Amino acid sequence: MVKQKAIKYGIFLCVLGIIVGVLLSVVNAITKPVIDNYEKEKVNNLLLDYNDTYDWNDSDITDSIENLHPQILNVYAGKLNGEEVVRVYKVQTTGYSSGAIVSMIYIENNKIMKVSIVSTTSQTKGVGSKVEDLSYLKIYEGKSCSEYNNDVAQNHNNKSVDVISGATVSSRGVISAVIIACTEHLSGE
Amino acid sequence: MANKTSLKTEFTKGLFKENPILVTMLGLCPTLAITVSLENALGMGIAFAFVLLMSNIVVSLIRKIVPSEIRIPVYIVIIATFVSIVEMLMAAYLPSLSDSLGVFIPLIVVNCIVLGRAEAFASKNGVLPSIMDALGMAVGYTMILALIASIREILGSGTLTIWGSLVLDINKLFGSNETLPIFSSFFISPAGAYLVLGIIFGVVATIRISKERKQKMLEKKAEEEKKAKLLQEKNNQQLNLNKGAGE
Repeated sequence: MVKQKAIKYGIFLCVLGIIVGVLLSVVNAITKPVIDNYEKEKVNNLLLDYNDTYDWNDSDITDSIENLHPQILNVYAGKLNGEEVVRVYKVQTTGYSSGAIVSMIYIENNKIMKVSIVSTTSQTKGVGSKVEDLSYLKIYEGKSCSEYNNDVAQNHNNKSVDVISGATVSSRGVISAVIIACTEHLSGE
Repeated sequence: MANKTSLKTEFTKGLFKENPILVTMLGLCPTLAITVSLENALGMGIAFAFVLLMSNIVVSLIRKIVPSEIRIPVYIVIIATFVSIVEMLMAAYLPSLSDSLGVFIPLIVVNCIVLGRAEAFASKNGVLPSIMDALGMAVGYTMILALIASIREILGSGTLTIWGSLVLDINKLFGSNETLPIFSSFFISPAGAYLVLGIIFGVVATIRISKERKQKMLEKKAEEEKKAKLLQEKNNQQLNLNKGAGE
């Protein structure tokens, strides 16, 4: 009797799961192209905002890089007169309450030229969102990538620098992103 | 068959009498977190209304075929499905709102109001009353979210913005281009949310208590009048009896 009931409940939940799965895949099929387009547009705008004289067409070179760090979502290469001049790393790191910070790190001649935030989730409003503050992001500009190499970061106590008071965990997410991007960039040199 | 009056009652009870925030005090976590701006509050209200309405309809439709032992996981699956749908739709068509509401959209899955209405109402009633119940609760919830958000946004920055366009700027009314010193970002912070919510709870409790007192006084008055009337009738009867005996 108990076995029969368990089978009946199992079948009921399976049928429900199938119906829900079909419904969600239909909605996903409709919305995914729109979401992807929006994300692409957002990244394109950030790349053009960095330097609109560079050629950003077919700049996504993620698939051509082997053994890419798992937290690096995309890698873009900006060209000038057909030659690569800048490499941009889109990195996802963790901020406060396991919220994700997606940032872009622009590296030219082994120098960090710019750090920008693509999106933040579940950051404490008014505190964690301070990482999007331009003046804070500007502290990385012009610094050499070797300063943020993984080996250097492990040897130096980087806890005392580059952290916004009141948004410690969130700004640590940005530092992690810079370290990941720099380490990846130097390893590819 | 539900009549018009009972359907109306199902709708109106969610507005004040059984308001999910003010009376049952459910779903306070997103209430405190997302009410930093009126725009967020309205967006959350719409997402919440969609999930509550759709889950109430589906739970009500399948209430007779769901085995009672597994009803809670079934309700959770139904609610999670609609939350996922609303999350995908928002990310696709309202991306800025989706970004600002962040994790609080997926968290509707564990919102006690939605599961509470599915378990306490939709699983025991027909589709029409369930729709009215969901609409009433959603309007009541959104109304209070919008009220808290408006107070916090105005006190925090002196402005009110809906769908990206500024509808009110008190700073400009006073001829200032910057935020006036009377407005403090404290109200945008979580502590400000607690304070505003606490004051609203206090005001609502005061109104309710004074209403109850008034009701009690009216009842007491009516009882006293009834007693006086009975005494008067008794006296009249006695007087009539005495008169009859005298004659």
